[in-house]
Amino acid sequence: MSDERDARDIFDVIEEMDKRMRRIMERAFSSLSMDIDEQLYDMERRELKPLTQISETDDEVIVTLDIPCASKESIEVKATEDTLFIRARMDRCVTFSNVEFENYSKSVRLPARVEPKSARASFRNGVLQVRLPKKFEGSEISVE
Amino acid sequence: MLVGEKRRSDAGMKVVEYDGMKIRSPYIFVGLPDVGLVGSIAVSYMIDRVKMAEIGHVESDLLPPILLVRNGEVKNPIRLYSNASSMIALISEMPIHPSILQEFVGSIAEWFRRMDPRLVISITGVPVQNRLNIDRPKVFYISTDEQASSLMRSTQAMVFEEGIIFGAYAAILKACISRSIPTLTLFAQSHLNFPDPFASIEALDVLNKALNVGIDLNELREEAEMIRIRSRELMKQTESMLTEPRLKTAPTFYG
Repeated sequence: MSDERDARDIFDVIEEMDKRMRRIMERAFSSLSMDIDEQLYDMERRELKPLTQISETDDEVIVTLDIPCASKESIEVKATEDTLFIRARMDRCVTFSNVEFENYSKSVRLPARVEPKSARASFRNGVLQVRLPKKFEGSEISVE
Repeated sequence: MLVGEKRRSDAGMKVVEYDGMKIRSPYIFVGLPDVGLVGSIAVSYMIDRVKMAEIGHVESDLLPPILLVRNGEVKNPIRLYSNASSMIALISEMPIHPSILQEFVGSIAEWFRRMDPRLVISITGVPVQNRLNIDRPKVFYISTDEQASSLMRSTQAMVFEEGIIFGAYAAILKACISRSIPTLTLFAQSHLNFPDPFASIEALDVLNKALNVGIDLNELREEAEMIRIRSRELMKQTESMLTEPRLKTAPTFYG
């Protein structure tokens, strides 16, 4: 009877350890996969990938990028109907993991098709905001 | 095993103190990764400027197995600091995952209670959509202590009249209220998922006026851009918690 209870206790302990280990692994790997999804650095090209926020209104896609230490004159912004490209030079070198970074670069896949020629960009306090009007696709329906 | 180590445990979390804590009735400052990293940046800067020493850390097998290396020294991500007089600071260099938030807050609030603090001061950000066009972010506050409210009235900070608070700071506030610990929470207007040291500056400026802590903010202004670059990784890790579906639907409070 006592042996049976001891065996059950051991299995309970093992199960609890297993659950705990799974929780630890899930947490460790969930943060890792997030980094893999969107890298903040391109070590080979010595470029930083800016933190980015994308939002949408009914008629615009708004992309905001955090690019501290970049000068306005160095910013290049290009857009197609579905992708925004930005590149900017930093006014100083920043070192991470013994690699010196001098530029920002990023291409952003847009959540809707836009009119790239009507896009507007502004830069303030190291934050770049690009507003891209959405492309109207469809045909008008008359109301009877 | 650390010399003089003393453990206090609560639901699997432990506050490990390196030496016997002699401070009683301190001000406790809390800076956790959250909106714009406003609290993390403010409290880290305060630790540096006031020359606080590390006095302990939070330990738990619920936390992921992460240690940080700073100048060749191994550091726990959630640490406690203090100066010789009346200030304690809690900072975390990893976001507190919602699944362990209750255990974390329960144990840390219990530790706060034992320290019999004069006031627990939490610093965080409140996201505003037009942050890009705001030169000097406003600071709002919630206080559960009449003396702290009276001090705040002598500053530019405004009462947080209405809105929703969520995440780690809401949990800390709740845990402190239930233990009758006096609290003051500062909310500086900030970017949601970009590190915002200028919001931290405004929060520290309010504390300078209210508590007369005399923190020189010039270095933080000068270093703001580099701080933004160096805290990108922590911001990225924190972002996933800030953009959970339930949070996306939360209203923008001011702006």
